[in-house]
Amino acid sequence: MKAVRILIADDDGDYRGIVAKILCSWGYDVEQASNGPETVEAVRQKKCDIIILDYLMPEMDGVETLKAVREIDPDIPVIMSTAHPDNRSITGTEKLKVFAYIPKSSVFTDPKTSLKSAVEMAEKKIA
Amino acid sequence: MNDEFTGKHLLAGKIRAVSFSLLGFFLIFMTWVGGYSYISLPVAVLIITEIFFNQPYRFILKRVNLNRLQYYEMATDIICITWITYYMGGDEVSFMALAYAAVILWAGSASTPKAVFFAASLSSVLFSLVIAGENLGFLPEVSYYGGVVPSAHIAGIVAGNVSFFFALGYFSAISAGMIRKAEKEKYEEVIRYTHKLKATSYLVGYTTHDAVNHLANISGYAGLLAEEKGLSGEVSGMISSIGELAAKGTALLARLMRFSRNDEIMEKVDVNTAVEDAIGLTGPFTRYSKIVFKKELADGLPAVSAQKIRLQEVFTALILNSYEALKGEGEVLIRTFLSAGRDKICIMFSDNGGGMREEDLARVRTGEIFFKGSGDGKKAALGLVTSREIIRGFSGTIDITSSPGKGVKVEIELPIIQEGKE
Repeated sequence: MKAVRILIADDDGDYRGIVAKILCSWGYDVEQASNGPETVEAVRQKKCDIIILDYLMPEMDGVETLKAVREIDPDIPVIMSTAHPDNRSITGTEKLKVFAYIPKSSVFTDPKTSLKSAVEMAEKKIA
Repeated sequence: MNDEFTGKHLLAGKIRAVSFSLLGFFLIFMTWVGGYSYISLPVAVLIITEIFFNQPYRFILKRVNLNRLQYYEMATDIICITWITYYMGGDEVSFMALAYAAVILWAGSASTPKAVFFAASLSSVLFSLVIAGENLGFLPEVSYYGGVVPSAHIAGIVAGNVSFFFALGYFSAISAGMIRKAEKEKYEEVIRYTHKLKATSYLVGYTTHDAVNHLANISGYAGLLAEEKGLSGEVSGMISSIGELAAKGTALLARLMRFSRNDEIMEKVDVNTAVEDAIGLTGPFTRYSKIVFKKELADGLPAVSAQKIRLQEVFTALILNSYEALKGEGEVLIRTFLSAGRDKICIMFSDNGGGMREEDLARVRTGEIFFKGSGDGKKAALGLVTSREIIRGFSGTIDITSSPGKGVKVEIELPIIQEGKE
């Protein structure tokens, strides 16, 4: 069976690298994008099945990137990761069908209950 | 500003009432020792009227246009002084000129250059009319000064005093301008402080965001290391500690990041959580003191409608104020409970510090000084006036009570969200 491909879009290289290692260890194929345009391009080329998208990125932030992604693929599951999730962090994403919001800190401190459960639920959706 | 204006009126009223009382006693004294009898029924009536009229009461001041009232007050003062001048006549008019000067000075210190010009002009016109009119025969001669003064002398008295009134008026208006300039500078200082605070808050927000990301990565690397095979128990323990410390740092910074934000959204706020967050935010420095924070937070309190961050700002400021008042040692009690009418949440901050004197408390209430503890505590984050504005924005009230030696107690009441009324 072909592995599910997850795109990690984040301007922080360390974060991308660590999440990539964790996801690979769980058996996923991982792609990386360091900004919004790279993310949009990866979706256009159908390089991923699920996206983990950072809310705050330079040049083109998470919301703008997500809008552009939705124009190409209205259904691809997107998990928003933020340094600190609160009301402000989800502002602007209400109508963009975000699959889940996860705090960056919990991705590492408690990966099994935050990252893994979000990814597994997204996986079920595309199955 | 209005409170300040009212305060000046109250003070000026007292000074004028005392001045006219002294004038009355002086005239009686002169009658008794000097054989002069300046006191007549009209003079006595005017002095008594002045004493009562110039004793403005707070409830009257709150119901009248103070700007207009001051013109009436100045006019009655000047008419009264002129009337007494008329009765005195002669060389004593120079003494009475001081009374006009007092009114002109008051106009400058309390009000605008326009009021000064009004006082100087009215004093000049009435003074000139009385002196010239009485001596030149336009007005009946009622004073006990019987001599006829040469017209050149009269012109000198009138011109000299009128010049004096306007010179004094100019000085008074300039002084008033200087006072206003100083007040403007003070206001600008507050604005600068606010801007700096906003800039700091902005920088804190973004810096903490980056720091949280770095800490998250540290946790991440620690997690990856922990997965490596063949690690000794000691190394595994150290890696685990790195992760735990990074998580603690993240929690601390996340709280600071939330605090630095300027959210304008009204939301349902759990007051107890806001109190806990404020205690957590101030923890990094209060824990190095011997101050004990006691919490009595009622369980199951309904939510209030507020901006959580703004509410935290108020709570944090109150904790900082208590911290300063206690000078490193003492007890701060924070209580939350439902009001007797069960329609409000009460939040009470009290400390067992040195407390405040009534006059300082009054200055704190009007915003003249920052709310601080007793003695020479440094300026704390928020003044009570700012806190009050924030709490008022949430339809709540805030009050401060204190007395020397008995600490300071601040009570906040916030209406709870009524079901179906959101």
